[in-house]
Amino acid sequence: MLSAGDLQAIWLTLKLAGITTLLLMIVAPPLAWWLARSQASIRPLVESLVALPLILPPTVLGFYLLIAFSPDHFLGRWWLTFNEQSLAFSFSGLVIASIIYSLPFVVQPLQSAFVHLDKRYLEVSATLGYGKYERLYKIIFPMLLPSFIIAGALGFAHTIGEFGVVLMIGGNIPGETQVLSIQLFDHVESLQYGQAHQLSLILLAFSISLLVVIYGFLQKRQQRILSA
Amino acid sequence: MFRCTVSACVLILSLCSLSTQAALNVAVASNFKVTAQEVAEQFTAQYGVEVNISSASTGALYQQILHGAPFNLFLSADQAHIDLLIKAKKVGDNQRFVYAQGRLGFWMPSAINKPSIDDFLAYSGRLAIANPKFAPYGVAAKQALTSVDKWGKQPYIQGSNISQTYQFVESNNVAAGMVAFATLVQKNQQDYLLIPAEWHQPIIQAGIVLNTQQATQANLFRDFLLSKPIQHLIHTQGYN
Repeated sequence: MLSAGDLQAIWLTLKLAGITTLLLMIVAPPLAWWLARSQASIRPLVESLVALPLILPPTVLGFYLLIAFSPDHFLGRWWLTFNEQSLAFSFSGLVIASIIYSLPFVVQPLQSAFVHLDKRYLEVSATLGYGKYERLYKIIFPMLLPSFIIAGALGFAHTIGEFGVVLMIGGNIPGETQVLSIQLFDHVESLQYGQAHQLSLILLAFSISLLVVIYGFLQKRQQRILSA
Repeated sequence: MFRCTVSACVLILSLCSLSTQAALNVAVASNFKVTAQEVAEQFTAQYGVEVNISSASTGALYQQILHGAPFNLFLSADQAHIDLLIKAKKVGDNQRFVYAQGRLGFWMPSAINKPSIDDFLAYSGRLAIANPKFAPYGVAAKQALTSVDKWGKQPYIQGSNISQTYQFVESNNVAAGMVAFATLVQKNQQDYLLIPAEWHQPIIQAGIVLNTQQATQANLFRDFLLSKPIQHLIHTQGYN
């Protein structure tokens, strides 16, 4: 059976993924909208920065974050002016890292949905006298709901699967930074294969079910709505 | 079409593994990496055999060897993982040797003077240690802290190996840590306390020659490592 430490790691991972997804769902939609519609010359640069975590080794991100979080540097120092604990090896530090790390997984599905949304829907609704926010709530949200769910789900899942960055800036503290993937690494390193198998199986089952829901159901639904 | 694709992939993959490997592959526990590199350079100069050093935590290297990693020699940071390899029948008992004994240091870069034992006992902030579950220096750190009744009385930041633990302190993210004395010596650090050896079980660093085709060269490297001048070099780098 799962040990108390394993359960704690599962809960911590869900908490981290939940908070990260919530914050990403606030930040990502406006950013994706801008990326989908803007003609600005810096758009490709912003788009590249957003996509960067897809190809950058997590170790690069972890290394820079470790430096940035240190009290010797601006971010770490600024954080310490109103916090007792430093950002490195803290839950808040992991949330910051996860937001950067999972950003493309949330922005890209939204951006693609915004691009595919027929402009005429918005133009027609504008002639009907719908304001900016009415168009958002009455047209965009209902029509693109599956894409919003896909974006959130991918961000959530990707945060759960985070390993390299957490290994570098986490410090393996139970209940604070010892997430599922780290706990699993711990079990393997300390030769507890039984427990490692359990956690691996849980992660595998979770990931495959989520992807099946996304590809088998949500994506099709989105296509039906958009092509209707 | 499908068959063509598969054959092409198999062909490319086979070509990849064709590269001849005359070099000696040595797996080294992370605390000993710098020293091992120096020894390897001298070895290459003397015998003309290239040496590749791979370093990671002892636990990680053990896993890799158990699952068939192509190492010719393994320098562990403890004896336990060597015993496990012998138990798993990967190697014979007679192929083991002891090449160094490690020491622990309590390192506090912000200290104005070299920290004393009293400073160490009084320190109650966050302490960086190697993972006491599997990293040999972490196991020793836990024993040392337990022996002075300090274990569990402060928050621990755990590195997955002793080098990462060092890096946590060096980057100033943690104020103090229990790191390898050898690293402190090699990096010319001053603000540390050498933890008394009787506070923990000795960190006996054992190695083993693995059963490979290059056993002759691996044995040569072992003899070189245990030779007087090299043992002296190891001593000056912070090992007993």
